[in-house]
Amino acid sequence: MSLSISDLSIGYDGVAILDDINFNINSGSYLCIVGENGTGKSTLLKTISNLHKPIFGDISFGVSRREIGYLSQQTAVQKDFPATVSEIVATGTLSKGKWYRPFYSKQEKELISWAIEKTNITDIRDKCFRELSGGQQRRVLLARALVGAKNFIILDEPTTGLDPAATKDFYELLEKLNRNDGITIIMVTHDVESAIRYATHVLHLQSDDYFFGTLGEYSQLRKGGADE
Amino acid sequence: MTALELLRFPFVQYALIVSALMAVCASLIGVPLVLKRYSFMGFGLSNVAFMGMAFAIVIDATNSLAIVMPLTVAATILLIGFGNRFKKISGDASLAMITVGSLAIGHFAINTFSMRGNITADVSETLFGGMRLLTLQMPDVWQSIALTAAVIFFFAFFYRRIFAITFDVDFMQATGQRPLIYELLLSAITGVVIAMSMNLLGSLLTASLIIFPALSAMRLFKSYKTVVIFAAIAAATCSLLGILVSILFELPVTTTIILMNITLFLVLLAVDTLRKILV
Repeated sequence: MSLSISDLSIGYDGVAILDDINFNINSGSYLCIVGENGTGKSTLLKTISNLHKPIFGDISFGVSRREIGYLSQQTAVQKDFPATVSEIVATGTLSKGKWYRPFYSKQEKELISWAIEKTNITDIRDKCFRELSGGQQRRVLLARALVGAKNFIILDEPTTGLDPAATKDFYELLEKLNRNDGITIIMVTHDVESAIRYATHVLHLQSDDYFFGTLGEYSQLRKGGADE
Repeated sequence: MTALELLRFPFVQYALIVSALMAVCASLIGVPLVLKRYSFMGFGLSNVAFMGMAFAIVIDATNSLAIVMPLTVAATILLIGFGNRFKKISGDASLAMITVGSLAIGHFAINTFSMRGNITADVSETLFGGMRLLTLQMPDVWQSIALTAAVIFFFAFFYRRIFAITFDVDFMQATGQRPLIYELLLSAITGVVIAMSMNLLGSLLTASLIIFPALSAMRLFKSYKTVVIFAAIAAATCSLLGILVSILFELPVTTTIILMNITLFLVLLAVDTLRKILV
């Protein structure tokens, strides 16, 4: 399981924000996408996640999209949604479930429990989503992403609006999933300092260029830039 | 006359059955609509149905549903199904234009082209219902039984997907599912329910049944399943009580039902607020 991007152009209404994006990551990688506002990191992630059409180029996972988990930015609708944690996590199975089956199978229920345990939300599984803290809500959405995809997760600014402690908890959870369970992670983030130290690779977008490399190469580059 | 004696009249029985069933249908589609911030959509679409009814009156159609239904379903699919995807005009503005525009066109059409005598009664009946609800026949009852069975089946069968498109369409899209199919399906059912309900209960009651039961249920319950079930039960109960009360005390029937729904909402809002203060 890997991701390869070739000759990708992203943008809106046929106008490109960024051209000629090429990179590959192998399974087990942890890629952070960083960059100033307006450089298109969110657009890139949406394009990779099939929420936005690319202007040109190829995105290939080597597997079906149904094998991939996604964690979006918080929407207004979700804020006061009357649903329990388990109800929400359960929808993660739908990408693989058959459309004509109205109920969750035993196997799916086990998968749901597994994801709930993995993200440490067992004690709140019957609570209402809208009554949870921001950090807890993020974990619930992470659990939903895990149910559908045990190997590959895409996250769009998952720590927006979280306090530093909750942010740290969330990053540590992601690190565990990446290191111990070999889950590939792609994440867009704005807080570069605290996020990228868990990463294996960094994609740094600039207004009309980008850098892609390992964390080591990126740190070197940044240090070099500072010395000059 | 007591409520029990009332129940002996077929017209009362028909009104009770049909209004309770339509309340169940409207409140079921109301839950995803309200949660997706489409509350006002119910009123806008009822007005589109009103315009359809006006056209039906103008051409003196024997089966007004044949005009109201396609028009409402088309508008629903356009507004809800595709609304988010191809926005050239903002959803809020297009909804407002459709709400106001269809009401005006409908009123204009009835007043200008209708050959019938009592235009004011036609307009009032179509908007506020009332007489229609108390003069139902057996075929109307069968029609609403069939619709309710279809809507309940649809909700039970696609329950998980309806929940998913309500909570997070992006997640479905990103994980290789096809949310648009379910959004269109839900829009089509919504259109059918609004058209039927408008035809039997009038547009104001239809719009109320979409929002109030769902909002009441959301005050009290914490899971999607219980919200859906309670909304349906609350809507049916308010309709039954509303009809009996309105006949017993000679009150306007549809607005009495609406006031029942508003009262229930206010009571639950108070309970919810008190609970939050006390806990």
